[in-house]
Amino acid sequence: MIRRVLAITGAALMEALRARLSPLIALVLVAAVPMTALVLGEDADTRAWLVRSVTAEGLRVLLPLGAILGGGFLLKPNLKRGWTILPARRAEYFTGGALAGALVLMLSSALFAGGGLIGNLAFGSDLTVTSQGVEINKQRERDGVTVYAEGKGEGYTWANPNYNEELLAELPAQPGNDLSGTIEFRMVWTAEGAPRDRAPVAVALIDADGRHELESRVLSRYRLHFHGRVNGPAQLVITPTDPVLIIGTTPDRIRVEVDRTGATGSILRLWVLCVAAALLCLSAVLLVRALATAPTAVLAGLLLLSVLTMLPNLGPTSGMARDRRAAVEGVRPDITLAQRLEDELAAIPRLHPETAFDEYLGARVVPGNAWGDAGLRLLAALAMLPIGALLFRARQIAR
Amino acid sequence: MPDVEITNLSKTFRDFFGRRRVQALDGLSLSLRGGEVFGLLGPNGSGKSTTFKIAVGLLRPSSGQVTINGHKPGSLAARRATGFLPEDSTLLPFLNAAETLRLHGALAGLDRATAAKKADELLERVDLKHAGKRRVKGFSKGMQRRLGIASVLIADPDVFILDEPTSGLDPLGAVLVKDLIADLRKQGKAILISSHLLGELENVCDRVAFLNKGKLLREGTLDELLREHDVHELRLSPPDPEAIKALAALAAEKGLKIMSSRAPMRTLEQFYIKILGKDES
Repeated sequence: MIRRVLAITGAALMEALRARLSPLIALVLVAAVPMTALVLGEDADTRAWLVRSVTAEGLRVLLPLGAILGGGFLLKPNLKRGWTILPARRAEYFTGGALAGALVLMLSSALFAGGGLIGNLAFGSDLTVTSQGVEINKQRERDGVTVYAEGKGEGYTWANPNYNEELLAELPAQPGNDLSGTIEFRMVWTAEGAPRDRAPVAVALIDADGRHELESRVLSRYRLHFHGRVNGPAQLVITPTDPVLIIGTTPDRIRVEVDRTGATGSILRLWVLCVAAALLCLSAVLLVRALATAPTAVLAGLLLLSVLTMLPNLGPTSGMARDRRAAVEGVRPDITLAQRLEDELAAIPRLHPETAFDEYLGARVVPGNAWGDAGLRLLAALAMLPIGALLFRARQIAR
Repeated sequence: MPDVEITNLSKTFRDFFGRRRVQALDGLSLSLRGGEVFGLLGPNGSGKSTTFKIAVGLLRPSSGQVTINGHKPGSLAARRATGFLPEDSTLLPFLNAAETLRLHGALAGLDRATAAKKADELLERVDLKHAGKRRVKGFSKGMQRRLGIASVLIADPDVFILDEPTSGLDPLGAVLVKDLIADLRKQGKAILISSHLLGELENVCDRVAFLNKGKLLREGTLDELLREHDVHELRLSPPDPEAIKALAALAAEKGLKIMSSRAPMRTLEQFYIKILGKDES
């Protein structure tokens, strides 16, 4: 069976590589990033940013879309293409076709990522290496006395501005006197008023010189950059400033810049992450295709893509607000079916871990947990293949 | 001995809501033994292709059954025993002819060297030796058909199911295929073949069945079905006019009616083969 699957894979791969437009497409894929940066970028900084941006967005957005469209039209369950002379080996045809599709997808995305690497070598700049916070605890001022409480370890530790709470992050040892880094946080709206601040946190440092404010700059809705001077071992103090927004973060969301390095490893990590996500989409589309038409399979793939990219953003805050109230009041409120559904949907893992892309776009090294994330997505993709093959085998071929 | 048994076979195609849409087959029963060529005849939509697709496991019957050498269609044993040529040539366009045959050899379980050797032999047998390195995309329909037949032959199955095997072939190509079928019959293979061109099957089939709207109308050997029992044909060579007159007189004396007496006509196909055969040789 394996030999037959490999034979079908090899033939399908040869078909794809020998198609008339293949050389042109390969050239376009390699040239896309450097050419875009060269044509649209006016100075070195813009070109470096364009190289990062086009590479990251191409891999994040276009690759899964390509996998969905390609997967939809990859298999021909009717009697029009090459496999019907051995008609009953449909499961093998499905598996061989899927493997060939996966290899084409990997090859084309590798060419695109290779173009990103070339662009980075030509126009890009080094990325910042970061280290994460060691642990997070919190403190509260009460009747002039500072009370400390332990954080939640690797999980989110929350600070409520109504109780004058602040988060204290232990920072790793710094090689010099300059400190800069990023904080990524989540917000829970207490529904007691309208939020008013764009960045509802202030950042300060406690070191050998005492407590002093750091300069901060908003990067996105949930991220800000900080920098300042440091003297010896230090703690970062994160203070919620909007009275209706509870702020929470985890140690790995506090990153301190320690060095600079080339982008090769980061692009490789992004590529692996995105290929795994695209293969997940491809497998899901093929699974639907095993029983349905190509347009139906493509629509199902697009639906999956939107669920895995948009729904996790929809309603996490109301769930966190309920959790917070339950923790404070000690009573778990009854939740409606709609709220439960919202919680379930919000708990779906995203197709891409956004942090990896944010880091790369922000000229920082992509964190190493990319490998584990990619591995999980690959396993999910692999798990769907045998199911699709069995369904495809059971399908009747009328035309 | 290879055999195909079709017993009380029915197939109804239904729509999404389970409503009956088309009754493609209705209680069809046939049997076929090794060394026999069985032709299925009928107009478009009579159920020939549906019968074939059930026989190779692409469709499931609504009722009744098909067995190939005693095995259910789609089972490993039935798959190994069956070679199927569908109505449309279904080849990968960017592989060349030799690669196509080697692929089918690999899928049939042949090792690389054997597949390559058999591919060469078959290319010669279907008269495509000169086009072995050409991509299938550039083949004419007839060449694709011949390559499709070679792809079926490489697995050396016991039972051949050929759906319109001569479709798209020129008369010389059709003769080549008919010769191949005759060879297979000599080797003891069972061959189920369909066509809506009646003349195509007349020369190659031992038995034929006529289908219409999924029902079996008639079935039998060509001799049983085609012989006209109340007429006798006599051919003379050389056509001596005196002898013909004498025979006509004798027939009249015996009270027999001479229905026709003339020089026989060749068919267009025979003439085409004669002149092109000479030209190509």
